[in-house]
This record gives sequence, C-alpha cells and structure tokens, in this order.
Amino acid sequence: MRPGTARAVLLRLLAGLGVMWGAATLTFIALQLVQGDQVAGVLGTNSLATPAVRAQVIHEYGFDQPVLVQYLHWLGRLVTGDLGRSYQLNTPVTQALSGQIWPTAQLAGAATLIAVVVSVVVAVLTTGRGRRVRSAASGAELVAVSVPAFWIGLIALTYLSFKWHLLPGAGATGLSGLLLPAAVLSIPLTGILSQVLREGLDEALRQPFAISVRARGVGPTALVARHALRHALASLATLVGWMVGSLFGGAVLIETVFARPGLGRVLLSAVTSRDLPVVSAVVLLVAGVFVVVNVVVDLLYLRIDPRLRTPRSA
Amino acid sequence: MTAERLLVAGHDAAALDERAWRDVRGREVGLVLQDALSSLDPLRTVGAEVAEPLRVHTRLDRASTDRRVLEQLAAVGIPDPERRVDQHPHELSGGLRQRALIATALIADPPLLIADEPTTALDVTVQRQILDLLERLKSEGRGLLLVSHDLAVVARIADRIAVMDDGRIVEHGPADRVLRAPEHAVTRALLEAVPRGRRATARGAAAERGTAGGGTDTTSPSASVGVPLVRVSGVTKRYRERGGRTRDALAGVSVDLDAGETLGIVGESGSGKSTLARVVLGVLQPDDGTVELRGGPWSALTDRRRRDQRRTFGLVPQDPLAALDPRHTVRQVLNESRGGVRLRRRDHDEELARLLAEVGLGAEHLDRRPAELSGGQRQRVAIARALAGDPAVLVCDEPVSALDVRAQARILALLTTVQRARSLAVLLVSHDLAVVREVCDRVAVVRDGLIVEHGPVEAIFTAPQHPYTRALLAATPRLPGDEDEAEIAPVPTEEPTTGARR
Amino acid sequence: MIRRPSRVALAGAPSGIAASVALSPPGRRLRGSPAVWVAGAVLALLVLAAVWPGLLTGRAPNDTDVAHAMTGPSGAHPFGTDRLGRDVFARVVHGARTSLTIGLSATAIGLVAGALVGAVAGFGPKLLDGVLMRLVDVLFALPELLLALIAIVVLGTGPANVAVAIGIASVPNYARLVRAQVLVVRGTEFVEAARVLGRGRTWIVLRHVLPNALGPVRVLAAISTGGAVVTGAGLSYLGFGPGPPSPEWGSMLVDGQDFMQDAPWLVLFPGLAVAAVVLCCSVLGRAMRGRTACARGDASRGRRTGGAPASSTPATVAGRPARPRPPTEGPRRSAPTPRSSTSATCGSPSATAGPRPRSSTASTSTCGAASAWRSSARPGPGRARRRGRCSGSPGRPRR
Repeated sequence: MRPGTARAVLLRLLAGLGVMWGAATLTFIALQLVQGDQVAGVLGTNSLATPAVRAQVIHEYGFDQPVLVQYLHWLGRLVTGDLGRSYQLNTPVTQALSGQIWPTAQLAGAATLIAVVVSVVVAVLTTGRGRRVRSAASGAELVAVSVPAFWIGLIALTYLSFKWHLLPGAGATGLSGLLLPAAVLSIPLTGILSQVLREGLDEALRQPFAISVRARGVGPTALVARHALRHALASLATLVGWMVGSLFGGAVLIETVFARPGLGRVLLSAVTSRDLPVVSAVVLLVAGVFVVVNVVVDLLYLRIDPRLRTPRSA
Repeated sequence: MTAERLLVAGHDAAALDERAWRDVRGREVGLVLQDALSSLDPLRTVGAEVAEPLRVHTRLDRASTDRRVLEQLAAVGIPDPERRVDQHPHELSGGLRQRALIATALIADPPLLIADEPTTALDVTVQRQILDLLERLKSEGRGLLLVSHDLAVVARIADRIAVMDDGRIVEHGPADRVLRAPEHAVTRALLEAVPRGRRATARGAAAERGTAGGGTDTTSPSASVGVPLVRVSGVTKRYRERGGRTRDALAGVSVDLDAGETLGIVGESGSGKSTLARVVLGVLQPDDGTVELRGGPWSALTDRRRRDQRRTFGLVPQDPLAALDPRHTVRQVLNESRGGVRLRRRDHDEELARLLAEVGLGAEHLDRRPAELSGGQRQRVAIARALAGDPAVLVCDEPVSALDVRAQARILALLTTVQRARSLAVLLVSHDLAVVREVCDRVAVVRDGLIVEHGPVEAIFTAPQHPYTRALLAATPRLPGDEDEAEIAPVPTEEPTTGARR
Repeated sequence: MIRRPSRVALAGAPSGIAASVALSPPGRRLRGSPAVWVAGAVLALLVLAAVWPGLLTGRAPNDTDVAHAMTGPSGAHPFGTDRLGRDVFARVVHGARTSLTIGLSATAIGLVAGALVGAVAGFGPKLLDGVLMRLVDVLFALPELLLALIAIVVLGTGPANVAVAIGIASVPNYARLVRAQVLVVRGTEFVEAARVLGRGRTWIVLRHVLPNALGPVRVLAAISTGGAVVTGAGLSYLGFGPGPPSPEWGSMLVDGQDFMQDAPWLVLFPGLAVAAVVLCCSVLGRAMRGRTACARGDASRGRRTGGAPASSTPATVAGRPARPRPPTEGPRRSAPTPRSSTSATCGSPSATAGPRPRSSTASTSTCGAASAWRSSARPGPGRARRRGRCSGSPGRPRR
C-alpha cells in the first residue's frame, strides 16, 4: 500500500469515527428530548410505581445528573461497547440485537447480489443501443425505482405464495424463504444500479478514448468489457451511501410485510414503545455499517481509478 | 458521410463488414486524436494501452509484446520507457502523453497514420517536438493524413493540402502551391486570417518607449517621466498545492502599463500569465508586492473601496460563453456594467445600441441570450460589456483562443480599432506569439512566474535575448511566406512538465 | 422503495442536475412528451382529489355498508368495498389529501431548512461551512427512514409528525445540493466578470448565484415530493401515521393486507395511487431536468476532491489558478482528473447532494467547481467549436 493510500484510509477512518461520534451525539440529544418519557419507558406499563420507585429509577439511570455528565457517561459506555439495557425487554441491548443482525444481513446481502447481477447484465445489454431499447430500459427502471417495494411485496406475497403456492409465504425461513423478500427488496436497487451503470457506460463510450480503442481494431464487446465497464463501475461508488440506506429502510418494511425476524422489526417495536437504548443502538449500528462500507468502497475506488492514487495531477 | 468508393490498402472499404474493418483498424490505419489525456484510457497503464493493438492483431506472447511496447515507446522518443509503461496517462506530461498515443497508433505498424488535430492541446514548444516526430515518421515512409485547423501546422509537414469547407474539399494541391497561390476564396480567407504579426507599426512611437531588457525588473523608463496607469511591482502569488507545498504562480513580477499602450504577456500554460492579469484586475490579492493604479493604491485597497474604481478596468475573457451569465440577455449583461444610471427606456436602448454598434453588433441582439449567439458574437458582447463602463484599461485574457481562425482575426481587428478609438491601455495575455505581435506595442515573456524578457515588440521578435524566448519563437509554426524572418535556431528546452508536476 | 426515493430519482440523473440548470437559458417551454402530459394530468387529478374530493366521488370515505362488504370492483364501487363495506374508491380519493399534504409539507420543510443550511454553508465563512457540512455528513450516514423514525420517537406519531419527520430526514439532501450549487456558481467566470464590473456581493448573490443555483433544487424538490409520499405511506403502513378510521393510503394497505387473498383490490388500489404519485413526480422532475440540462456531466463531481477550498478562494481551487488555460482553446475537454472517492463519507466536504454518480466522463478536474462546471457543462459546443474551426463557423460540426 502506498503511503498516500494509507494516509487516505486513515483519514477516512478518522472521518468515519467522527460520523459515529456525531450519530452517538444525535441519539443522545434524542434521548434528552424525550427524557420524561424515558422514566416511563423504564417503568413500562407498571404505572403503579410509587414516587420512591420513580426516584430510584431516575437515580439508577443517572437522569438526575448534569447533562454533560450524562453525555460523557453515555459516550464512555459506548466506547466500551456497552449500549445500555433495553427498557422494554430489560435485557442488554447487545443481546437484544445480536440475534437480529444476521437475518437482516442475509436479506440485504441477497438483495444486493441480485441487484448487482441483474443490473450489470441489463446495463451491458442496453448500452449503445438504439433509442427504443434505451427508453424501454429507462422506463422500466423508472417504474422499478418509483413503485413502493413493500407494496410489490404484498402483491407478490398474495399471488406467488398464497394463491399460486410457488414460493413459501410469510414467516418462512431458509433459502427459499429468503428468495422472495430479497428479490422484492432488490427491485429499486436494480433500477437505480442499472440506470447508473448504463449511463456510466454510455459516458465512457462517448469519451475520445473509445474512438482510439476502436481505431486499434478492438470490437465493441471488448471495448465495453475491457475499458468502459471499469469506468462505469467507478460511478457506482457514490451510490453506496444510498444503497446502505435503501437496503436498511427497505428491510424494515420488507421484514414487516413478510413477517421476518430482523433489525427492522426490533427497531419498529422499539420506536413504538420509545425504547431509546435499542433505537440508538440501531442508529449506531447503521452508521457504523455506512462508514465501513464507504471506506471499503473508497479503497476499491482507489484501485479502479489510478488518478486518485497520485496526490496531484495537472 | 457517403463515398462512392473508399479504398484502404487496396481493399474496397465499402465492402468491408465490421469484422474486416477491425482487421484494418490499427494494422492498416493508425489514429492519433487531439488530447492524449482523454484519448488514452485514463484507467489503464500506458503499457496496456500501447500493447492493445498487438493483443488484437497478433498472437505474440507476453514477453515479446512487452519488448515491442518498450521498443515502440523508445521509438517515439519517450525517455526511460521501462518506467513509463507502468504509469498512467495522467502521470505523463502533455508531450509524453501525445507520444504515447502516437505509439499506440504505430505499434501494429500501419502504413497510414491519421492524426486529427494532434497538437492542438499542446504548448508551442511541445507542439514543435510532436510535429518533428510526425515529420520523422513521414520521412520513414509512412503515409500521414494530418487534420488540423491550423494552416501553419499543416504547412510545416504536409506535401499536399486539401482545404475543406462545409463538408466539401474546395481546394486540393501541393502544399507549396496551395499556401503561396491559393485559388479558392476559403483558402485565401484562412490564410489571411492567420495572424502574422506583420502589422503596420502605426504606433511605432509608442513601442519605442519601452526598452529591451532581461530580468524581472522591467519597469519602463517612461515611469520616471509620468506616473504609469498601472504599476505592478514585485508581485508574488503563491498557491498551495495538495500536500502542503506551495508554488509561486508569480514570483516577484514588476511591469508597468502606460495609458494608451498595448502590453502583451506571453507564456505557455502554467507560466502565470493569467494570474498576473487577475492580480491586475484586482480579483486576486497578491501575496507580496503591490499593484498601483494612477499612482494610488489598488491591490492594497479593501474590496469595497476598490469597487468604485473597478470601472477603470474592462475584462475581455477567454471564453465568453463561460463569462456571460447564461440566464441573462445581452441587454441585462450590458446593464450590469452600466451602474446605477437610470435613463428613459428609449435613450437607454439607444445607448446600448450604440455600444453594440461599436463592437459590430446590431440592436436586434439585445434580447438574445449567450447560447443564441455565435462564439464571435459572444466575444463581441463581452467586449461591449467591458467598454460599457468606459474603462481606461482593457485586460484581455486569451481573447481569441476559443475562437476559430476567422473569428479570431475579426476580434483582433475589433480590439485594435476599439483601442485606437478610445485610446485604451490594453493588457493582452496570450500564448500565441503571432497574436501578440500583431496587436502589441510591448511584450513581456513569462515563464514559471517570472518575466524572462521584456521589451518593444519588434525587438523581442527580431532579436530575442533570452534562450526561452528564442525557443518559443523557433517553435511557433509559420506559414512559408513568413520565413523571411530571421530563422532563429531552436534552443533545446526541457519539456515543460505540465502533466506531471509533483 | 421506502428509502430516499428522492435520491433514487436523482441518482438516475447523473447528467448532473447541478451543472445543467446553471447553464441553460430559462423560459424555454416544457417540451410536451406524451409521458409528461399524462403525468401532469394524473397529478392534476390527484390534486383535485385532495382539494375537492366531493367532485370525484359522492360517497363519504367512512360510510359503512356491511351488507355490501368485501365486494369486488363493480359499477357501483369501481374499486370494490372493504370489510366494513366502505367504498375503496372514495377512500382512495379522500386519502389523497393526507398523502399529498404529507408529501408537500415534508418537501417544503426539507427544502426550506436544507436550502437555508446549504446557502449558509455556501456563502458563509469557511469554519461555519465546515461545521455545518460535518453535521450534514452525520445525518447523511443515517438512512432517511431511520432519521424519520428517530424524529417520530421524539415527536410522536400522527400525520403532522410524519410530515415533519420526513422533512427533517430530507434536509441533508437539499443542504448538500444547495451548497454545491452555490459553490459551483460562485466559481464561475460570469460571477468573476461581475466582480470585475464592480458589482457588490449582494448584487452578485441575487442576480447571478441564486437564480442559477436554484434550478436543480427545483428538480430535486419535484422528484422528492413523490418520494416523501411513499415514505409517508410506508410510515403509515408501519403504524405511525393517522389512526385507523381516516382514509390514508398507507393505513389502507395495513387494513387490506389481511384480506389480500380474497380481496386483493383492498391492497391494489391504494398502492397504485402511491405508485402513480411517485411515477408522475419522477416523470415531471426528469422533464424539468431534461429541459434544463444543456449537456451531460456533473458539476459537483469536481468538488468531491477533498479539501480543496473552492469556497473561500474561487480563484485558487486546489492550489492553483482556477482556470487552467489551455494553450490553444478555451473549452477544451478538461483533464480527467481524480475525483476523490469519498462518496458520502464524512470527512469529505462533498458538495454533492445525494449519490450522484461520478461517471467516467471524468470531465471533472481537480481545479474544482469552476472548471468542472465549465468542462462538464458543455463538452458539445467545445468539441463542435474545435471541429468547426476550419469552416469558420463556430459551433457547426465539420462532419
């Protein structure tokens, strides 16, 4: 690894830490804003609690300390990996979440895989084609991106699972149970990826170097495969932030539609019951994933585009 | 494009299908495009790019391919090819990149090389080197189809010239004949439009006032007589590069501009000439040194105080399309420079029409937007805007380099007319020696932020003192008719590393 | 597609909203492709439904008629009835008001707050810019839905809070776009020309920067409105919207999903309504973009290079004169140069809004906004001009 690259990685990681800190602060502020409810959250529906019990809870959770102290405690606990206890489940948050991460990761991973494969195929097949092919493709992409995926999920569930019994229905586990939700979740992703890839390819093919390459006797397929695709991949990097968010947001809804376990469902019940430690843990987790994925993509990007490796060029 | 018959190396190209064409491309015909930075795949190494035709057309193994690539790179004059093969296009300087691009076109040894504006993006000295290379290739027996807008470039190497206009070849013949005795009006117009720098020195008197001299202290002696209009003394402008280093775009430049004179600032890209213009305009603050206006402070003023005096300067930009707000009509553009004077609409329109007439436009252009004008018309609007505030100094930053040859000639003529009619002082920044020679009284040659030579235009062009000036002059392509100039021996210069400054 | 639909649509526009509008002369009329007309008509109908539902349906959305419960689409009930015999068509029509209100007010909140933040960052001192953009980076790292959910935890449920939550969640998009635009326009040569003419800051901001900067923001707002409607429906579907009796598309989906097998129309029609809004907004947004886009390329790409303080010194971006004068001609295709890959990571003062892909036009240059804007904005004319030189008519391609 060149020193420049190492420095870039370090900088990005630092910046990532900054984002994590920001996210932690944000959730702390949210916690403060609903502090009154927090006590109720801890006490749960047990509204018969005496003022003494209330006071004890306030003291135990440190709600009576100055805000700054609470903030520092909060940060200190986070650094040591202690995300607090869920008010609702009365278990450590880490424990409440740990079992839920894998199903969501599975879902998101499968959806990404489907989206990448389909979109690369579609983009390569539709680039440099006539206007009809292009407008058909971009129309399809527009629909894929626009139509709410969770609604498609509902429809698909009705017909594919319940009416035609082609696929296992809601609540199913295993690979076959993963297929439908992942496919549905991948729809908007596929739409956007293929659109961006195709435009990237088109853009690359419009570059003067495409003419040079053709003038060397290279055929159109080899031009796309050897030259243009790499340029188009570079344009995907910016999408990553969007993809992380899209997958997560989509997963929350898709998990609800398909009654799958996962972070989405935990988050929803936490939001409903104002179980802030769980909400903030999810926030930090998602921000962390975002940061890591972005750093990885940045590194990939450095590999793809050599111009980024040299500190300066003309 | 249609053709009755297109023969390539004895094959009837019209009968070729895509696959057969691919055999022709690269092997029978090599192509060199304008800008190697975008004509080479920026994501691949130079070696991979040069080797590609071999991969397509031959079955050489890896080792011999690599060897051929190194040989070819050396053959086009790239020093240290072992290092260069693993670099990417952006790491090479402009000249080396262009050589690498030529290497990609040559490696499969095509008998015909098509070069489409091969030197248009390059500085003159580099252009000279690339043209030398192309000439050598031609003399080695390769056919060369050179496409260029620049007659002087073509004149340098071509045996035959075909002049095209509107998709037709209007004149075709031996280079000598076409250049010396053009038959078609288009050819004549093109030839006339090439700036030769042989202007009648009507203002020779003004030119006499300057003196030749090297070094950075180029304060003209007339300064002692009266106060110069603009005095630049010891101006330094530093830029911070990525990685914390600094680079002096200007390193202690001193120059005077007197009322009514035209001063040319000449240099290659990155020499700092545009920075100088911007410092004079007061849009860049010098890090060191001062600019004085009519003996009073200028660069030392606060931006707000400077604002009232800004009308002393008019700016003629390089690229009028970028320098005009796309949302504004010509009327709005001109109004912007007229300050708060309110007139009745009729008088107002008359005044704007007068202004437009002065730059050769009609009142019908008032309600057009820049996108609806041609390049020359846009530049005229920009000039009208510069004149609207009734300035004393016109700062022209590469005023014609974005224009085609004929528009260039007209805009230069317009600038000269306006300058005389209003007796303006003009600071003309250009990379183009011929343009400077045609318009200017005095010239300052800038390199790496320093004025290396300075003096009256005739002195600089006929008896250049500094080796860099001589190299610049020698590198400038000329039409054969201009060769009566004393031929100045080229001084070998190291190639400016515009592409890989680090 | 709950997440950031606005960005989806935007990302679909790598051709650079940012660059385009700044360049295009305004006032050209929307070219009416059939899709645009259809989208406009459908949207008009939906707006009519929201403003004056009685005009489209005589039935009240909450009138129950158990005798005719769960009947399929028919002449009397074009969209069928639900388990209480309520007319689905009437509920969809009446639901338009809630959904569109959520969409529009969320967009308004996001637009105003985001534009404010972006403008302050773009115009303000460097330090403030840095602080604001780091804040935006943090928000950017969180999915929109998650941000909206956090806001709901704090604010509580209900349609108004849902709108506010979605609006807050979209602030980073607008802030980034507006800032990027301001920086791009601030670095242009016509702004410098105005300075040379002696125009003050206020004049330049009002006459040049804002008009040119806000064009793309309009496009984003149009597209985002559709996105906000979907997000709103999604949040209602999750149970954070208006309570059960009120007709709202998202809650209708919840109501209907248990009966999907027997009465698919209960889910089909509200979903179609949501999809229609988004599609129409996207189509119109794209048309606006297409109208304003002079050329392809993305202005903001150039700004992603880390640390170049284009904001403070327009002239010296990335440490050198802003306008690299090519020796020969102005609008030469500018150097393809590194775009730092810091997609949306925090540390980079990325001026982009949303994930606008840096495609390999590479027409960005290190020197940042101004030249990137220039080069990316019109590769066409530049090339044409070069080509046109011989014929003496700039802009006319030789072949």
